Amino acid sequence: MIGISKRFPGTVAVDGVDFSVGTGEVHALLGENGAGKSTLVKVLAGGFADYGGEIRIDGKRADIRTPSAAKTHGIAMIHQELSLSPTQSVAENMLAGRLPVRAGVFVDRKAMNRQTAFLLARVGMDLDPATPVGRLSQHEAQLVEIARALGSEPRILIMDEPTSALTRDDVARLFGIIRKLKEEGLAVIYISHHLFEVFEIADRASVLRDGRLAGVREVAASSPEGLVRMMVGRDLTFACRATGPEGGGSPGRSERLAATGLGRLGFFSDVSFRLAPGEIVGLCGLAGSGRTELARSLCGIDPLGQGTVTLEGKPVKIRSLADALSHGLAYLTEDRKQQGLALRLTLRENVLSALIPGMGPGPIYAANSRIDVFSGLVEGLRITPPDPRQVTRNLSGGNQQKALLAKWLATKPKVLILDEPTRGVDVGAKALIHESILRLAGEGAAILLISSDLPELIQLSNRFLVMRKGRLIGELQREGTTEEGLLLAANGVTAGAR
Amino acid sequence: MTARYRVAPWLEGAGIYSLVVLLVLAGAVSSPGFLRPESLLGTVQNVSLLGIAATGVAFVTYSGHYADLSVPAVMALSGIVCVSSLRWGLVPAILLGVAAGVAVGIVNGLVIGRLRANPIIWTLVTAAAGSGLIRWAFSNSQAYPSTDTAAGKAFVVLFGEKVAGVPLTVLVLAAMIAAGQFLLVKTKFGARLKLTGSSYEVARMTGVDTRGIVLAVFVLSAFAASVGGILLASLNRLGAEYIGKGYDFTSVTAVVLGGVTLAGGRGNMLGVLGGVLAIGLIETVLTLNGVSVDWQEVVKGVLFIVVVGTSAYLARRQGRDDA
Amino acid sequence: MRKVLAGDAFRRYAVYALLVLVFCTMSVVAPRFLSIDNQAALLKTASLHVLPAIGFTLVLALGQLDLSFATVMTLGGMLTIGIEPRHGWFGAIAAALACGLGIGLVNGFLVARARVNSFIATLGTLTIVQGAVNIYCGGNTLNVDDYGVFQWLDQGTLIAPPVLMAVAAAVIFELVLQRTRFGLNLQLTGGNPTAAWECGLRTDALTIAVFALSGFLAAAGGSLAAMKNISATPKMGNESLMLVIAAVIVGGTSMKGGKATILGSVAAVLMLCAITNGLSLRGLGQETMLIVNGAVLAILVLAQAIATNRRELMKGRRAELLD
Repeated sequence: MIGISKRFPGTVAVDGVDFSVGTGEVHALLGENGAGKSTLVKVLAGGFADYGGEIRIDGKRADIRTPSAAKTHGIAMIHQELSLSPTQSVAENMLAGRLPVRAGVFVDRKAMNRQTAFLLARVGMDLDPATPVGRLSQHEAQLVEIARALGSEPRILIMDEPTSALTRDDVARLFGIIRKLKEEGLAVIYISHHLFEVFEIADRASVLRDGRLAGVREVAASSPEGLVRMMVGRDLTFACRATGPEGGGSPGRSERLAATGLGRLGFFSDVSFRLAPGEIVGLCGLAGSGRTELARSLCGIDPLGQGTVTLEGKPVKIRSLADALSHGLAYLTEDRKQQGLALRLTLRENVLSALIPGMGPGPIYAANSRIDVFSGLVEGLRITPPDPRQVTRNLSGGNQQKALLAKWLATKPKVLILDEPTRGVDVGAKALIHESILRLAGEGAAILLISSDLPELIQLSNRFLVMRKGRLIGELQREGTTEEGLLLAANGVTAGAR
Repeated sequence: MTARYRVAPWLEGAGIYSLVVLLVLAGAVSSPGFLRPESLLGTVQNVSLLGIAATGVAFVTYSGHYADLSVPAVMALSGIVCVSSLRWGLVPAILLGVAAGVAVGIVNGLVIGRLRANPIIWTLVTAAAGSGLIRWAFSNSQAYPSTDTAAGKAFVVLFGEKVAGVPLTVLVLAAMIAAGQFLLVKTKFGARLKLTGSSYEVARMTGVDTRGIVLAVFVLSAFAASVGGILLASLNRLGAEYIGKGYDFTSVTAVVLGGVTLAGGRGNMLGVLGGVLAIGLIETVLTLNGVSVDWQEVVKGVLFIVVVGTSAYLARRQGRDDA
Repeated sequence: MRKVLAGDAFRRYAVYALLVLVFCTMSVVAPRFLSIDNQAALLKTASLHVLPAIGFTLVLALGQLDLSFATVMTLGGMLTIGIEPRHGWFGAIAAALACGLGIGLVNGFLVARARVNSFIATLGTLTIVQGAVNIYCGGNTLNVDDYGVFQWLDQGTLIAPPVLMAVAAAVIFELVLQRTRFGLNLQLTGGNPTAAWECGLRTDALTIAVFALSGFLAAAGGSLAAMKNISATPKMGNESLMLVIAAVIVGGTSMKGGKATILGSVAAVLMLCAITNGLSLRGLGQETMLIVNGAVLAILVLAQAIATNRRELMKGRRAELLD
């Protein structure tokens, strides 16, 4: 790809980028959110009809302007956001666009099932091909998507964050497949925020920054710090919980929140824990362990079947999110685009959206009130551009996540539950978010941190709770707990028991 | 990445007024007396009922629930209930009529709010059920106001009443537009409504009582339709099941023309007023030029598609993707 | 191996169970329900709604709405009757179908290329078509004197030509929908349009084709109805509107697009017609039937909404925790 440029209304996403990948090579594409990685590969996958620059495949000029054109050139893409049709079966999704026919007109279902089973086995899955995709878990769905891309026998495979919902086993198997295909000549473009993956599988790495190419390096000759420095343009010091809050987690200390015997039929059962003011408790577990469901029930979004919750010693019944907010309990959702932020509204409207009840006398709404709160938060989190009239959709992922955090910080919560607060966020924004979380805890809030990012959990938490299959199976203290320890615990191999 | 895209609120909804101005000019060209105050007021009066209904529907559309297609049935119901109750006096009759209409709105709001039924389908169903109810409950499916009673006499002239030279219906329209605008822009309800319309899920996850908001918008829509229906019955001097036919689609037309996009959370009442005026002016200008009613329908349909299509296209060029 | 859950099967076959239930109930409630004469009449009536129902099912499968089908039906009927005197039946039918196809193409183009919301686009076309119909017939009913066609279509046997045509169409289109690339691609596009595009499916062409089919089938349905009654009224399509929409939804096609079933829609059409038929045999007046119809529709759509709602709530349950 030579001199690729792509503009969107109001912004230049990719500016004159050169990128190449050789046969049998895995080339990683790195950069902060908004650096242009997804846009660049989308150009290659035929997602745009108009862009500047040229694409050459095997030395010959290739005019790729639609997904079909990309397919003809043997380009397949695994998307960051799953692109499966939920009402259709696994088989129908797997072979979309390549449905086998019999007698020229009728679709051959037997052949479909056969091919599907074969492709699924490759990624280690055993599913009924007739299962509607909507019934699959995130983890299964992502594997189906990968199987589909592999099934089209591509010559160039683009993988955009392919491991976000996968287990370590899945990733290992996937990398095994990639290595084998490398030998057969497959070229892979690999986008991931997980640097350790890059170091494990990639040969070269290109770093994008602000839509431009910052540099290309041989992975073997680089270090994580070096790559990060290229991505961010500066050195980062990671905020870290060097020492816990004084006496955090020890019994006898005043509690902010105590939960006893929480359960919701079919989602989680018999969960009990405590949060003290100033404490950050990391809740870890594999995908589907019930952490988000627990958080939602705790905050009144979903009903709570059994159990009691007390806040500062007094029992409370939280029947709705509004109830929760009135008690100072807030929840930052894991899906910032569809549940966290109203992307069509302005930055200010979003950041202040939880404060509407307080913005004006009685039923009157004073649109301009609380602007000081807004400015303070935007500055503190360094959200750019800090324009209150900015349409939220046009912010980069990292800034959107900061805005979402700002929204809940504005409510001055006594208990804040964070669900994947730095998912899909670049390194710089991540650091700022971590700083904010620590500051909030320092001011006395109790924080429950749900995260699949083990380093993040280790960095920030005073202690850990482990959930598996809807039950709380363990509690670990800060000292002596490592990432491996957490992962083992999440998988049910407990070292530290309650 | 330096992305700058400002939102200029005053511009939203203002676009339709350029069309309004164009139409006024067209009218002035078509007929010398067009620009006289009486004539202009007459045009507004012609669409005042549409405007009243549109004010209500605008709330539904703004909330992201597309439209309220039960408006004609509600208009008919409130009209016929009012006429049948005139023996108890004018004011009680009006109140009963409005209550009947609002009852339908409550049903709509509850079903769509709690069960998340598709609003288009469900309001079509309530419209069908409502029509059936009217036909069944009222023999001949018509009711005539008896002109012997004082209430009856007052009722039939209600539509034509003027206050200080301005037709009553125009005043009602103005009041509803003003109230609606106030609700949208200056109340917390309006702020919550905007959030709900922009993203129902996000509003729910921000602690907004979305079910209450949905109930409210459908009640508002039914209320507006009831008021319009009673006035319409007064105009026609009878309550009937077919009164109100066509108001469902024309009010959506006015609302969307006025800048309240189907995606929700965008636009305001002043824009809706512009949409209503545009439709009224089209009708007047075409009538002045001797175009038959049926051809007017065709023109309105074409214009609607053209206007919506162009604004959608322009919005997409600018990077927005609603409606 | 994960098995398809019982819930899915229930949803897919519920309509057939309902159909059987209705038939049983009606045969008990109205003694002559199961007679050959009555069944023949019932089947003939139902068959007239089948063609537009197929079209609506296809459009809904794509995740879109075609609200113009009722007026296109009317247009088809009008043209068939109006053109017959001078150009014979074949010419008339051809003209009607061509117009239906043309309107469908316009709808498809507006939705696929101009990216206008389908609710709005078909709202616009329906206004235009209704206006055109009124212009064409001057608001009058059109008639022809060719009893031959009427007698041929209105045979007293169970498998009169309209019924055969309806059954044939239903079977053919169901096969197309579930067994051909076109049909499966259609459902995939409805389920996730972006994904379909990224798979290289030509979603624009698909959309235009589906809307064109819907227009074509609506016109065909109207044409058939007009020939059977050898007359066409300016509002003849409107009776179909609610019935078809409710039938397609109750029949199991998802309102969000994706999974669709034509056989389900047809079964639901038959079921709804059976209810009306049975009740009229029982001697219920026109008014009562209207409200019963409305109530039945309301209950069915409500039940669907409740079922969908419960399914959403239960999503993600872990079997092992269900003590």
